[in-house]
Amino acid sequence: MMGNTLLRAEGVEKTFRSGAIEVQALRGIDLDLSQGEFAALKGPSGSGKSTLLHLFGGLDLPSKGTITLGGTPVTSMSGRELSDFRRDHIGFVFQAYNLIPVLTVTENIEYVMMLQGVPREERRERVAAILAEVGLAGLERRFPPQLSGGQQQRVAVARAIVARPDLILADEPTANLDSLNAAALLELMAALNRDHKVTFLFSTHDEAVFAMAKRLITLKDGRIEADQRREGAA
Amino acid sequence: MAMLLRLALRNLSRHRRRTVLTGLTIVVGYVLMSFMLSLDAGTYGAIIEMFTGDHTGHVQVHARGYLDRPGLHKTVQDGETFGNLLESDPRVQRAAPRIYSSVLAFAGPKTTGLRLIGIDPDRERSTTRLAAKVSAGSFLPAEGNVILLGSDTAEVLGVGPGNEVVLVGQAADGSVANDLFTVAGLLGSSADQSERSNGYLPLRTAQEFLALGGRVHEWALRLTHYGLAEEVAQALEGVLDRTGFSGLEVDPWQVVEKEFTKTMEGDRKGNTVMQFIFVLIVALGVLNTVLMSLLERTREFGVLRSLGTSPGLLFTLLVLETGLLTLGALGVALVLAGCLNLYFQHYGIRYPEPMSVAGMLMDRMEGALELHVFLLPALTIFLTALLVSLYPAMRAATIRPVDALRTF
Ligand SMILES: Nc1ncnc2c1ncn2[C@@H]1O[C@H](COP(=O)(O)OP(=O)(O)O)[C@@H](O)[C@H]1O
Ligand SMILES: [Mg+2]
Repeated sequence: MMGNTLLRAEGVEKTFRSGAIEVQALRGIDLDLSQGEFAALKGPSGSGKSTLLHLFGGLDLPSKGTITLGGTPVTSMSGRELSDFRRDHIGFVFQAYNLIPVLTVTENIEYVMMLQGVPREERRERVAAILAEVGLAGLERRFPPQLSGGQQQRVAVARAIVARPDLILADEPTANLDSLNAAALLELMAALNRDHKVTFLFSTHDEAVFAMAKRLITLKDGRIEADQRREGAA
Repeated sequence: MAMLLRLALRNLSRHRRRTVLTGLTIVVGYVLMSFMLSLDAGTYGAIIEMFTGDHTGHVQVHARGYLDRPGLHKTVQDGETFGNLLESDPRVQRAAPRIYSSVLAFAGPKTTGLRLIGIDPDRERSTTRLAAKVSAGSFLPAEGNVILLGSDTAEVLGVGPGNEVVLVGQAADGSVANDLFTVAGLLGSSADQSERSNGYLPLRTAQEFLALGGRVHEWALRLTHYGLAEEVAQALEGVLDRTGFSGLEVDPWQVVEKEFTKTMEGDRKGNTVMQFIFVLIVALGVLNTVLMSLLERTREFGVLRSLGTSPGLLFTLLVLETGLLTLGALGVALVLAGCLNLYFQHYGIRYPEPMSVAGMLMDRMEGALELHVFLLPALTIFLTALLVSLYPAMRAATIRPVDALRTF
């Protein structure tokens, strides 16, 4: 079941300083993530979930420790390199307001591919295919404010996956959804994980959501408290 | 790039009210600036034309040193050949030769000092307004012992057209010059005192009287436009040098009439302050929009950055937004300013009563449609708007993505 190691974190620490106040958000994280995993990150508010996802996605750098993705050390990249790294290797889904409000559904999904330099024809084909897959065919020309919260999150997932990243990081993607929509989004993500073999790591504190994860990593006070694998889930 | 343009345009239309308000600030600022420049160019253009058309002309040719310290013997070539040489430049419309001297005028028991000016009546007529100032009698014939007198002088001497005056002065050869002249006409009135103590003789008569055969003190040139004076003066100096007329200097009206030029420039400085204030208003308006639209989109910038948008691309987008807004507004403003300036070029603004501007009595202001009237405010506003947006755009583009994402 386990493939090659995709992501490796070693001794990752993150301290936030604002004036005299110091917050140790992460206190030594060691973690391996394999290709094709569907893993959940659970923990109470303030336990460091968002911080860890940001570091894995190259949005921020750790105070200590190293992170490598596919053998490439993320932690020694420059700002410019991190920007390209995110474009080519990472897909993000945030809790809300993921989409660019002035772009249509199609344009939102196309955006990263445009940055990547994918030709127009191919972009259109890939958008059409992914929209059908996430069940949003027909909404191509809508703008984000004209969509429901569940639809917006689906577009965000579609945008993440269409750029063919190595790793999709989702930070409480269901937190703003009702339980029905939350379950549907999770099922969608699980299906995409299965069909596209893309690795997912998502954070949540929703019982129903982490029930679907094949691996459950529990964070507490910036440390990994538990790391369970479960066959047969999802 | 197409995507950037689309994003920029849609972001502008997202807040239509704010975009329109900022656009209006730019439009109003531009129209006011352009209108002021147009009135300025029109008014001062009219003043300069009026001033130079009175006597000075646009460019003058003298023997070197004459301007600083005039002298009877500091003379220049006379003659049609020389006149034609000066007029060979297509920008020169007409050249008029002059002789200057001081004499005493007698009429019976009465006497007065007179500034004697010898002119070529034909050439002078198409160089300055002198012929139009004749208020009694007639203008000068090509030669003959006739004189045009300022009306004040005529009154002092108690003479009018047809009467005789005796002039006494010093000729160039050292002898005493004296002769009898018939008054051909009077110049000016009690309102226009510019010719009060002047007396004009036909050039040839004056040359004989002062023993200055074939020589003059000055050539005054009328150009197609007063704005060409400096370049034409420079070009002519070269032409004269090359054709063997050395020891001459060619000066634009700005040099010949230093006092007038200084007064006028001083007058115009006040307008620059107003212009600066308009630019400041526009700059603040644009800055306000840029700051507001950046602050409320911080979270969005975080998302764009997390998707792999480089700071450079984001920066370009934000500056593009300001650039497009400014260009659009300037387009509208150009049309409005064009109409406004055209109207005031035609109809002008009449002063309630004649006003003295830079020493000239003006009865109205009018606009001028010169290139700089439109170009200068356009460039100033465009560059100011871009400049004002640079720093906020740079800040927004380089904010750390995590910090941006934490803002809602
Ligand atoms: N930019 C920051 N500046 C200061 N403190 C921060 C910053 N980001 C996170 N923290 C702190 O780090 C800790 C972990 O936060 P976070 O990763 O957001 O937790 P979670 O996502 O699990 O709720 C919290 O105590 C939070 O206040
Ligand atoms: Mg969080």
